[in-house]
Amino acid sequence: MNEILNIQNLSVTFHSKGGTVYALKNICFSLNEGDILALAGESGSGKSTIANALVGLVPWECGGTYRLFGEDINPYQKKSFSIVRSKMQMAFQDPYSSLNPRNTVSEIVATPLLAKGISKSEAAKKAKRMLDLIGLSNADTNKFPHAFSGGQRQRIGLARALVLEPKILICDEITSALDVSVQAQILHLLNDLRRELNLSLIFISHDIAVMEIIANKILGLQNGEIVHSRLLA
Amino acid sequence: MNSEILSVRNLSVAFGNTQVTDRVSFDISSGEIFALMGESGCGKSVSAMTIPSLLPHPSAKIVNGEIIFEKKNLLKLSSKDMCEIRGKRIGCVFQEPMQALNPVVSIGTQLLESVRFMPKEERLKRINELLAMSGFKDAKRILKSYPHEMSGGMLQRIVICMALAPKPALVIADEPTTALDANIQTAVMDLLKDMCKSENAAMLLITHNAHLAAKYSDRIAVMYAGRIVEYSKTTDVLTNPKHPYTKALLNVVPSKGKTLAELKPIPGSVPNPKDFDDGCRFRFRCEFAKDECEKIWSPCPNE
Repeated sequence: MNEILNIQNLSVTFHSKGGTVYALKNICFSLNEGDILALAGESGSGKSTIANALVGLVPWECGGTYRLFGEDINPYQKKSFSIVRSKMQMAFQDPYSSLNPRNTVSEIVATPLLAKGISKSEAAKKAKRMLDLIGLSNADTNKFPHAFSGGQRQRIGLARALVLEPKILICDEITSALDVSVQAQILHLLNDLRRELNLSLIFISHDIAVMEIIANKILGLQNGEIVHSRLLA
Repeated sequence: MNSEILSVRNLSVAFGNTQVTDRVSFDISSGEIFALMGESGCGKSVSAMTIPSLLPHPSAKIVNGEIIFEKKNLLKLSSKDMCEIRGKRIGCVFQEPMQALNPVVSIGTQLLESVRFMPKEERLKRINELLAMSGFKDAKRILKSYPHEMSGGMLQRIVICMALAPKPALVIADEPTTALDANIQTAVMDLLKDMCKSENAAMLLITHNAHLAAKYSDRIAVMYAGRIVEYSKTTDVLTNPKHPYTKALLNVVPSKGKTLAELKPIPGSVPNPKDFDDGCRFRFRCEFAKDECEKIWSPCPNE
């Protein structure tokens, strides 16, 4: 299997008046093509900080190296992350607060394309295709987020993350706020999308049963360190 | 055998002209843990929150039914009489502990408010006793803290203390662990169960998680689209489910050793109450649906 992501010595520190918090300490891991890597741990263990560091939303401490699809990324330069974000996207936990309530669903999904400089008509076409893929009907595309259930909103969040055709998708607790029945629907959708779009996933969760069902490798985190690593069948 | 403390009979609730629950009936005995299980939008919280009269007025209307609690029909009590029961005889633990507590009032003041019915000299003693039971070692510091200084698990333990402080006969726990981490969920549920048992309080547990209901409840009522579709002892419901919805709900719970193929999602979603009809409301999502399901619905096996 091709190694598509390799992270060495990722450390993140937050400084505040109250003192210094070592959020991540020398995190090393890799991801192969088609893999689903699960990051497990309690709240505050550093799972989401890893996700944020991967897409450049938090600053790295000196000494870390970042290799993506065989290319060295300089994590200390903000510019480098524009390359990262074209290959790696993120879906968030709360389907209620992660969508702009004043935009229609097609506008929400087209936003990343417009930010990349793609024309409005082309963006609208791609957004429609993506919404179709995640199971939203044509009639739904002009509705606003409030008209949808939690599970449907999470599908819209996935469509927005996937519209840029990334190769790696980070799912940050995307099923934690959902009912068990909707959770099962989303897990199946994720698996179908993974096969259809040839995606690799980084799946963050605190639910071991969910991770064991979907992932093929689990990394356990505690206080910002990897304390456990396990391959699954 | 324990005595029955709550009996909900044929309870139907409507919001405006839309009826959201349909002849919901169940009983709870003292010291028992009774689970109402189902997906979001099935009417679990509406049915449960009718008991302490916490539904919004005037939009929510009781269409018919009765709620007998400690031999009184709660639906016939005045709001003043209901205040004597709510909080004192019936405690509530809500889903979001951060929203259940006032952010600008100290934990101590909020806890003392829950024991305002007690003689003054007993209040602090009772609070300290409950904090010790819930594993708080430094009660003095906790009483002076504010909600933002505590984690979700700690806040939910405080809310549990508040609900149990006045020694209620019934605690309604509405998805008490949904907003918490998996490892904290177990600790909070263990605490809630132990405290209810030691205080001999009954618990009405509202959940969408069959694992949680299996581990903690004595009996389960499964709700779908405003109706109870199955109602029996927990072991019977879980080992020998009768209604297709119960079977489907048990199939979607992830568990150790299960594969993704074995995790069978229920297609579609719970219908809007405006679309409810007299047939089986699960027929649109049911793999066993037949023509007659349009006309009749499988009633709860125990009715």
